[in-house]
Amino acid sequence: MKKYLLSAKTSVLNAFEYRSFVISSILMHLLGVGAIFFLWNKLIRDYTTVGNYNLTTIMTYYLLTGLFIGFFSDRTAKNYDNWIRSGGLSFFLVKPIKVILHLFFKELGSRIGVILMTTVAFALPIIAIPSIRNTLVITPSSIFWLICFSVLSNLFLYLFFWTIGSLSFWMVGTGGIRNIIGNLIRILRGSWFPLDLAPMWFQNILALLPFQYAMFYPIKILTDPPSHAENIKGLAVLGISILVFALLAKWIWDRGVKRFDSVGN
Amino acid sequence: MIRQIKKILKIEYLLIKLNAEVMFEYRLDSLFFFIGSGLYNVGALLFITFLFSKIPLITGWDKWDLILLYGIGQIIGYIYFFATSPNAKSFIDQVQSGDFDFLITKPVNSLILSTLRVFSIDALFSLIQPAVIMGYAFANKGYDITLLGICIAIVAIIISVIIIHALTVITLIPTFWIIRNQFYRFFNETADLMNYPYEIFDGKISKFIFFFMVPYALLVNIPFRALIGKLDYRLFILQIFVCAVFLIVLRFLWKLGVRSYSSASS
Repeated sequence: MKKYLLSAKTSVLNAFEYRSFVISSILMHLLGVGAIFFLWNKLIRDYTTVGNYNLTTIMTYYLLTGLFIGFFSDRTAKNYDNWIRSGGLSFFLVKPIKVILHLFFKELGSRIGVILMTTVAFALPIIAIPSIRNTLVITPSSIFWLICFSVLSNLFLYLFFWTIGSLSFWMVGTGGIRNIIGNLIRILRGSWFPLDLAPMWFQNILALLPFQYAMFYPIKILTDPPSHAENIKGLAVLGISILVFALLAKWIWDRGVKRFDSVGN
Repeated sequence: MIRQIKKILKIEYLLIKLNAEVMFEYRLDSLFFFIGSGLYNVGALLFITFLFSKIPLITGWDKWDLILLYGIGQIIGYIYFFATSPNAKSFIDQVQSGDFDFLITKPVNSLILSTLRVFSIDALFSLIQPAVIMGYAFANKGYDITLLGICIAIVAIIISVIIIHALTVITLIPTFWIIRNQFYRFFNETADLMNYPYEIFDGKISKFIFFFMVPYALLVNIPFRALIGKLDYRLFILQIFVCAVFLIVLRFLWKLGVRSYSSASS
């Protein structure tokens, strides 16, 4: 176990080496939020509220989406894709380690590094702007649920992107598929708009999919906490998704490695 | 001058042809790009639809106007993805690797040659999508369209494409001085703003910024309003003026950057 934890630690440190990239990504996100401000500022001045949102709550929503964008990084899929296509995977396969565990801890470290940096970077504008700070509901209960959803959604997204990356065993590359999935997830997680602006039928469908629990739902926990029953329902969706993708990822991986080995021979 | 333009056009034609050949080798990737950008458009249309289920108008414009505006914005967007976006990363690579040396020694304008050499042909095929989006808007609302309106809209789109290319290249110029230039992502991250009616910029400062400095208010709104016959011609003239200013500023900054690059090399 010690060697896997060491691998995770190294990845955390590596993530900090790319801090300028993460910080510039955060700045670009803030620029995007600043841009959308002009639309909402006009709308709220004309209509006072849109759905349940006023100017402060809608801007808080868009600002907070940045906290969770790191969860959706397709870096996992990209890494698996590169290792498989370049043959770099052999480097891991010949080592006396459980490759799946090693790669999991490697990714875990990267995710922890990026999430730490993003949280610190977003804490600053949140603390600095009183109207946004006052919109947030920070209680032991909300923090507890936020941690639960963050951990499980990261686990789910890791398994999801691992599955996508593993398709490289059979394909020339997964860039195209990642593009499709990235644009689809943008809708499903609530990046385009807060999902409660959508009609009920749309919200009901998305509630059965795991993606909103990694962005829209955690923001809800921080701004307008849902009931415990809703939280448990959300965790159940994430739990089932994790189980399904864990089995699927392992199945694809085992078949892929077998194919990879036979090509090597 | 004419000979120089002919030479550049010939080179650009060859480069586009070469890029098209590469694309046909990766047909599946092109299909995925098409589907991926289709899903982006679905997201945008859902946003507009859901927004208009809560409010009747945005600054006097209805849902179909916004969809038509978005469709025209996507035409400009896909041309950006065809010619400008792929060159941004390629340009940074050229400067960092030193390959830019090779370009400045050529007897052709280095600005054009280095920022218009990689083309994403996939994006051209995706132009079908904005055409469908515009058709959707036309099918649902009767617009009074004239031939003159179409011609002005086409000219305005070309001017917008030039402005966007100039703006992106201006954000690339710091590459001559800094290693990891991320400024080139500026347009990509903020471009959504050009797809809304310019009346949302109603403050003095926001008007100054979005009509003159980063002219998002003009890029899509001018062709859109020309097409539906509601163009304020003073703004069309302003768009031409802003384009000219951008080209002058670009030329000045480019010379500055190349001079700094050359002196560092020697």
